[in-house]
Amino acid sequence: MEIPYTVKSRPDTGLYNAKVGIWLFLASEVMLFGGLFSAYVFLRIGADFEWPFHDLHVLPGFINTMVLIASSVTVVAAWAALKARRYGWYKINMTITLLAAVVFMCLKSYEYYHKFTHYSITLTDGTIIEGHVVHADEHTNGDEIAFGGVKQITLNLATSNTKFLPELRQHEGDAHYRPSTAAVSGKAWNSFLTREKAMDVTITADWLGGVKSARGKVATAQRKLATVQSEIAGYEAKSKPVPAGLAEKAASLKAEFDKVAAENPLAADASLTIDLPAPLQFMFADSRVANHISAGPENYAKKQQDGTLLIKLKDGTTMVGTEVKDNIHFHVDRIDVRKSKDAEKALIWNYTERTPELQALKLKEAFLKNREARIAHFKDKYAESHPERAQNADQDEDCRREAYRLSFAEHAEDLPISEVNLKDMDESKFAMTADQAALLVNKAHTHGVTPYTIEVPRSEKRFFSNFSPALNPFYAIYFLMTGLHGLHVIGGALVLGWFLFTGRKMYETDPEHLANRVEVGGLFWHFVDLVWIFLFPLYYLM
Amino acid sequence: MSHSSDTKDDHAADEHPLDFAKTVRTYLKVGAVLILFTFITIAVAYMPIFDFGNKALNIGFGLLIATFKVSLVCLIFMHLNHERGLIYKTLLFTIVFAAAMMFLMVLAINSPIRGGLWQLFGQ
Repeated sequence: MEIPYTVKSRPDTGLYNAKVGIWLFLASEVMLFGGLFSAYVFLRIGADFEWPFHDLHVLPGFINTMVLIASSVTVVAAWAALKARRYGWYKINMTITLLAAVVFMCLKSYEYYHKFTHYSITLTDGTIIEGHVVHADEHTNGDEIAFGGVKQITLNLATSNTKFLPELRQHEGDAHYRPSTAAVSGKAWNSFLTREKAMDVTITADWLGGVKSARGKVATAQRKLATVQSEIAGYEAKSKPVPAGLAEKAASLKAEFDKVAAENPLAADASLTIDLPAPLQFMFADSRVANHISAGPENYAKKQQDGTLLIKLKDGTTMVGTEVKDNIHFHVDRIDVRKSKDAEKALIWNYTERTPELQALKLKEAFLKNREARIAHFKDKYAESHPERAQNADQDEDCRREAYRLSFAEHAEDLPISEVNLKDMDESKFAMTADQAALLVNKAHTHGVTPYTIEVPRSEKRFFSNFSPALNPFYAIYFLMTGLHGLHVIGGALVLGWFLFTGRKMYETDPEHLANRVEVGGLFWHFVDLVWIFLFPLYYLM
Repeated sequence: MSHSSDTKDDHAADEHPLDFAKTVRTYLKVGAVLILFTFITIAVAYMPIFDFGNKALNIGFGLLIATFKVSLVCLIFMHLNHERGLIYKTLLFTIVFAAAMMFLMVLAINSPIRGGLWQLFGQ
């Protein structure tokens, strides 16, 4: 069937059909993105936190703006080339458009990657520290709770799952022990001797599934038996003779229950305790551990009378071990003490003081020096144009952001070490050699990250997230809108790519048809561009 | 393509062949203007001479520039400077509904949440 009016205009509209279609579609797209822009405004005006300002790196956003503008020029030039019947120029322009789409998405992926691997911890005093979680190894547990010396695991047979199996990280004395192939005491690592039944079990998801299924069967048999027994008890209570059929039924159900229970020895138990042949270490995400919100190490691992520690997972599994490490190991790149009651007593300074290298750098002093300098700067800045703001500069939103929220790179500029005095450093006084200090300054300047690790006690953490939609409404709507926009870029590029790679035949038979197709695809591409023209200033600049 | 024409013929472009070089020059000029205004948007956000002391003014100025850029894209690249009536009518509906949606923000002026819309204007 031939589609009408793909080239010629419809007499009543004066347009070919696809053009009417794309404009109706774009009208609906305007409403879609309009709703999201409206949501952005509401989130911003209703935010109960300091709305991130100049938080995103401008350069990738700026380059992407340039790339999209360039692609808008080339896509409309590709259409013009077709209208002028210059296929070579069409191919060149369309190819550039597609390359621009690839560059845009690569940059967007780069931005997303850096956001997803960047973390923010809100401490109990309101201080926010931003940085990178240290990868877990044999010395640190990153952001996981390391629970070691585990010699006993108790499964709740109704609720436990086998998620703890891959969480086994190391076996004492063997830092890189992995469960898949290695063995403990000559047995498969997950093959245990159960305490009560003295039977060997190999814990796998299938095995536990089988136990749960058997528990279901036993429970059903037990329920049926109980129903009949209760009926019999009713007769006996009223001193009435129990019907023969009922007694037989009860006997039959009892036999069935005994049979099922005998076939499934674990099914009647509520839990199963297993003793490990050798102590193991597990690492859990804190969301896996029960009571993690109420904080306090004792809630992660309760100390028992015999001195061992008990940890309970959310699925009901409990473990008995001897040591727990639940500090978050973190490389700080920014400190924000705007919400601390007293910036000078913010919790962050406790952590930096515990790290000898950072202690030597006198970070707190550098911070205070920076703060005073910046407040003075704002006072000067506002002195003539806004005297009121100058007077209250220490309460001014912009001033507070600059004075109370400093990146490590900014700190480094004012650290009490410089190229000159590095050589004069008394290494015995500072817990760091001149080379280490030089490395620190260099890293801080080039990457904005301290190479030294601070340890944040999990009990002093109020909120912890990477820079993902979970962090705050700003990032939620940022990822929603830029993600949706990115999907439009991919969709548009696929369509334009189709026209580029399969258009030759159509160009030879009906070039005007191909020109119309490219015009429609181009209109969509321009829409993608104009959405970005609003997104860029809104998220990156304002 | 529906270049402006008094008659509703089907192949306006065929009858008035497009001057490729001239058309592309126009598009390149528009592209250059868009890039220039992107620089101005960044300058408004970062340069001290554009610090009006009121963030709302900067936001307003930035959005004004964005609106100007979007207008250029619509008028020149999307050919809305010479389109058929049906498309204008369609867009009129869109604008009315989009404006009505944005008008919802006015309802937030007296919102009890952190001073409502006014806080955006630093009051």
